[in-house]
Amino acid sequence: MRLSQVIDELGLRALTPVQDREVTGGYVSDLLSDVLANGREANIWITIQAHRNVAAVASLKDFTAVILAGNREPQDDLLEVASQEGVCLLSTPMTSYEIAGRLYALGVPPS
Amino acid sequence: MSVINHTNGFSVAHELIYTLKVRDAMSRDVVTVTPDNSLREVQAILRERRISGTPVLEDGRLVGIVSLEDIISALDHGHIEERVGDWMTTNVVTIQDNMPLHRAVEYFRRYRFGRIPVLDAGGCLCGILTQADIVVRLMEELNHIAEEAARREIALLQRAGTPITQGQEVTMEFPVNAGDFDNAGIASARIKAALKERGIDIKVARRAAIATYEAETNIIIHSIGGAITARIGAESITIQAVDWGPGIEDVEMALRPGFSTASELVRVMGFGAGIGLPNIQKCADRFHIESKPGSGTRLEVEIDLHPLVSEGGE
Repeated sequence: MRLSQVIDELGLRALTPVQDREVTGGYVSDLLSDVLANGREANIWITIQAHRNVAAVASLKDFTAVILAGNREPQDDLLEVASQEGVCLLSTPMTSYEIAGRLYALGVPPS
Repeated sequence: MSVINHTNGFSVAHELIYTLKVRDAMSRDVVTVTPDNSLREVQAILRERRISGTPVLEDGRLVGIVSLEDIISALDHGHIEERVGDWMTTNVVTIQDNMPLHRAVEYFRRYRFGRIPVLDAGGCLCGILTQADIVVRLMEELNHIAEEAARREIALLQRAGTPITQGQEVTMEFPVNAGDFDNAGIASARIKAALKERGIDIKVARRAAIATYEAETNIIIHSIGGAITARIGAESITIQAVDWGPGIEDVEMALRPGFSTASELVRVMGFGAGIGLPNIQKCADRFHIESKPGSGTRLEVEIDLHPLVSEGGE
């Protein structure tokens, strides 16, 4: 499934420029080491962490996008680093639980 | 302006037309005429100023607009000596100076005008906007962004330690400061980029980057400061993470998944889950750690660059 389709279907708000890549799966976690260990390339990562290391982790893992759940406001430097690194940041008012459920229902598999 | 017309996928130019205002791009030096000028006089003004149209003002208020097409039509139909007021376009589409540029782009696309008069909050003419004005302003802005990016890249390279080439081998060194979460990820990003440049399999590059990132954050969280050194050889990459203290009480315990000595503050940021060292071990083909309380910790990770079957780590 393409990222643009996910964004449209779930009404996600883009905080940084969108690159319309393929989404191969999803992962939910707020522990960075856990994400590093278990996220996969081209995944969507759902988290409530909103500091600049989110961009570093997403970039290292080549995630297609990061969804900040629960309307978490990204810290300013997160936006800056994410833009620099070409990390697509998305925002939703839904909780991590809800957005994960919606993604799963769309047919996005586990990581 | 197809670069800013498509609605899918946000380009930098697309972002810019949402943040820049009409007044940021418009020309303020506006040539105007009055309804009592003749079209012949307007023709001379347009030729002299090399412009393709001009607003018509009466007592300081905008009452119409005359364009080159109107002049051509006047020449064609023989009313070139007549008053502007009788032949101008009176139904003028204007735009306010505090509108975002994307509104103007919309107008140009919808109405196919050559120019749009710009009004201030009081309804007075304060400028004029053409598509060329928008392009010029975007070029300036993009140029500025590009220069800024180049400057940041250079600063980053200088701070991150430029690779020192030794024949086949490349060594990179990165100082890591205690508590400096803002710069976590610089060493790992540079190492990943260096491996990708050398055409190393992306899975291998990612394992090296993850091991480095965990090592960086360990130094940031737990130590009083240290450094990361990466040596890329022909067959393998060796990553050394060395800090100056305080050292690990019980190394065996530290390697156990879930064991963590991180502070609550660090855990709130999503670090300190107690799986950092096990993660590094998983990414490594060879792993060595030695530590003494009171001195420091020395971690060495080696990853084969050309494994027969790429495995582990992810």
